[in-house]
Amino acid sequence: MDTERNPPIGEETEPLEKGVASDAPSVPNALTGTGYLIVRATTARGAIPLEGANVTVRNRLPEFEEGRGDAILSAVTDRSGNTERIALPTPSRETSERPGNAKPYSSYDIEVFADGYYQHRYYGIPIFDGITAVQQADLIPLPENGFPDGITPDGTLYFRTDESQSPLL
Amino acid sequence: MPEQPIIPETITVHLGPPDSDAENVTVPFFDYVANVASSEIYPTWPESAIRANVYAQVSYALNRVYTEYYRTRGYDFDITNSTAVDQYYVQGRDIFENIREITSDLFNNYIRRSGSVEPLFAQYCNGTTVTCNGLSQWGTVELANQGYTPYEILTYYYGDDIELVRDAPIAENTESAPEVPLRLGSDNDAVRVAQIRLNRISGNYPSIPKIARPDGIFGTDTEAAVRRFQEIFSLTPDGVIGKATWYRIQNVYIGVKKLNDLRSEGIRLEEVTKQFPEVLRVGSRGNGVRNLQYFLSYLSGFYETIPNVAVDGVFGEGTRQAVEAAQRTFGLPIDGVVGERTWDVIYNAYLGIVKTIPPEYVEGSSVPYGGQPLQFGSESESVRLLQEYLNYIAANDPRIPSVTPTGYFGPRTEEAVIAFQNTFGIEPTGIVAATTWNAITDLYEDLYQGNRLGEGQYPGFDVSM
Repeated sequence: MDTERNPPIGEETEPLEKGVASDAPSVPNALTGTGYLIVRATTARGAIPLEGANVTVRNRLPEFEEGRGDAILSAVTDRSGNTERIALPTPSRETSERPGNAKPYSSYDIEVFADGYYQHRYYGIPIFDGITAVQQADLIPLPENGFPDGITPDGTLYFRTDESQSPLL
Repeated sequence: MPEQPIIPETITVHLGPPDSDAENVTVPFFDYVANVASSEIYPTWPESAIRANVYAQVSYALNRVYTEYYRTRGYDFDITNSTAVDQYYVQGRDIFENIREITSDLFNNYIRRSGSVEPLFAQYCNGTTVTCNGLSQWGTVELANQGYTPYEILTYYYGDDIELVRDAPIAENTESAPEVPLRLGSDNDAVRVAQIRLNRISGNYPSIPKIARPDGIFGTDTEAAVRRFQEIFSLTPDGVIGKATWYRIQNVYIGVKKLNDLRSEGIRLEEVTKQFPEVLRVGSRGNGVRNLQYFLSYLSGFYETIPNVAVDGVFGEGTRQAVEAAQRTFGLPIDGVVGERTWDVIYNAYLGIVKTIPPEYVEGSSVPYGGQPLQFGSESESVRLLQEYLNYIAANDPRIPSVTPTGYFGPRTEEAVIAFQNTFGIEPTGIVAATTWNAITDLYEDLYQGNRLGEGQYPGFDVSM
């Protein structure tokens, strides 16, 4: 809730950590940490795992349009619907431990495709240093007989998670 | 408003400000909490800080649900994901493993004022650009680094007159986690429940080895199944069923079972037709409505944005909301009325699912309750089926005596029914009406599906020539 309130009467509420601005300007390319990603492909809202789904992970950099970053790797899901644990570069952990720093996570785009299902594209998935993130891709079987006019003509669902970290500044 | 807050099984989230024309998604409360926690804070924060934040997030959501804040104002959802008024929830985002484990532990814990029943309306803000009369998110990091426990952090922000409610009861159809974690050597009913559920889950996740005898004794095969489950679902793979693993098993089990509920409950398979009946709207009744509801119910098993509906042949408010949700999902004009176009789109989506999903995942192997109570003296095909189901259960559970499936409800059948009712907490009348029938077929399904072997699946015992 972003609503501002007055402090309770008789009690100081100094914010404990006024944003400690970094001395240096934010350096978005210092990716010295490593985070991890597992993609799990399922259908039926998670009840059925999908084996053999194709997963592509792409860089998400400001200079690229969403989904057009270079592909870092591709993976295939196993019998339980999981890829292996994928290691990805991130900013170091310290940047997430105080406010006012550069973005403390790195972002990636993920595409998940299984034959006969809507394709899913996730844009801007956050990955943190030392943390494993699990991306569940719950796919839906494509309707028969084509699609309603003008709706997702290529059978793709888009999930934009660029703003998926509440701005903690 | 119920007396004591109960943790809901699902929560409906509006994906925008309250008055915006946005989708609603209905998701398990268990998953909602993990999503909010992953969205509101950083997973790299100290554990004490994360736990304090999760307490506030759960309490906040429970307060919205318990007070029916939005529902009483005419909205059809429990909470929004607009940070101007509620907490952040990002549809389709990734979930951080450590946060998932913590929320699995805390999803049914909340804060309340001493002397009050209501979950605390636990407001919070980031504490840097915004200050508020509540928890400061960045503040919790500082306090945690100073050694504060989650409770100390919460009293710091919310006052000393709060208490933490732990392990609150959850909605029906769920069982509370055992107080003592289950591990190698444990021997009790909770172990049996876990074994049956794991076997059922392994029907869909065949890399989980079967537990040959779900007898309540936690042996090495049970441990192997638990460990594999934990690996698949990103829990610490220690082979021990603590709170997090128990509820994750339950969460997955409910999802797997729900699929079987998509089979024709409320409609006979012969009645299912793609034929557009006539324009359907609130007030319509009959088989056309029943078909529509069946398709919508099926879709709700796959589309987060479409709520489930009862298949009862009566087009009421619930059906109208589901129709509108389907129209919004498929980009049709949203009017809650089913004309030929809406019918075709819904049917095509349903057909696409039916043609893609292997039937063994969806088709139950038991028959829904026929409508007539069965008792001593009854004689019918339904009685024979009842006896078959009881027999199958008896072969897997020594507490239930076996019966001969003759189709006649005699003293031995009554004895078996009473034994079943006593064992599973149903009034032991010896009469099989809907409740008892459903409980029997539920368990039968669990055991039957649990015993099915997937291709290449380890059966839980050594096979030799």
